[in-house]
Amino acid sequence: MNPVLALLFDLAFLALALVVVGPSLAGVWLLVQALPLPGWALWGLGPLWYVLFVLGLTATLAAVRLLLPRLAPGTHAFPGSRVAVGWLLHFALQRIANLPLWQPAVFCFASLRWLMLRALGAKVAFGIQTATDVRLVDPSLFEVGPGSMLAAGTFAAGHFIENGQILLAPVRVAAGVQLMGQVTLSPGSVIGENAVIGPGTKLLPHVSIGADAFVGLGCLFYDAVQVGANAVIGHQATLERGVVVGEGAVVRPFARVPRGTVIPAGGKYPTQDA
Amino acid sequence: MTREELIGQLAEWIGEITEADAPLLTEASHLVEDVGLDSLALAELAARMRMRLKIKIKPGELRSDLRVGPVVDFVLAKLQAS
Repeated sequence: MNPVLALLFDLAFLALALVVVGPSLAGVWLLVQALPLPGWALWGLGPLWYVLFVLGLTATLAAVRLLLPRLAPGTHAFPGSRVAVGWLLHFALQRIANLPLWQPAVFCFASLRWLMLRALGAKVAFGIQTATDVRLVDPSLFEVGPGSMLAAGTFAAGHFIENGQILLAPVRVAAGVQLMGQVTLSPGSVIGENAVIGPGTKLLPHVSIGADAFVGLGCLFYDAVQVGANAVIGHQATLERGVVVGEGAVVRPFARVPRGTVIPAGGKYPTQDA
Repeated sequence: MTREELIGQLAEWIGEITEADAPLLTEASHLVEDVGLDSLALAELAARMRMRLKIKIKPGELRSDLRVGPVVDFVLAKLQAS
């Protein structure tokens, strides 16, 4: 990143942190000072003050986010466009929310996690399960349906920066999806209802996985791969750019499917086991 | 579909999935320990059930008991409910 831009980002981050964190800390301190409780009781109620601080933080995050420009999906000049500047401010805001001082603790509570993600603009159902180290770097571009599970180390980004351009696209995870550990979702990822994505699988931009599909562990999907409903992708398979896997088709473990290959519905790739 | 027909259908699908002869299934046969299906083969089997029998199976639902008898009970209950 350009050093001037990096410094400007740092200043924006500091300003946002002061605006978001300061009032919440001050509010809890004033409340504690105003209560006629003995010192031991004040210390004993520490977790309660912490929850109140997080609620205040969540409210200020939501208020600040609503003042920022909405992120427009598409490809934009980076950093020289209004959308890119807006994205940098959203990015700084999520970094504040994801600071290790509070993020793991917030994610221990289903309610606080939901509130925090909603405050950051994520369209997230209350009834999801997540590990505490899930990382959603563009929450306002993230959707997840009820009953879905995001296991440890799940990483989802709604942006991709390359050659002076930033791509912004939503990441959509339907209901009942299981994302196993260390799954990576890129901008434009769409995961259909009840699909299972195995540990360590990585999706590059604009990959869609159909409903009820099963993806084994350690798979790699290049850009614009489309996997149909009920398809089964074997462990450590690599699907190159633009591969289309038909409904109920099977890709065998360790297969490398060349760019643009179309596997028909119910077919197997390769047709014979090696 | 009767219970016997469903067991026969499961054996045929397992034969297609494993690219071997259809196994001889009994109610007590365990799909992993006796038949030798792995996680991918089970996923394929569940996909065939969903597509051919038009039933809904959520992730992990089939795995609660992988003996043929309970699997058949599960599928017949789903068929009745649909």
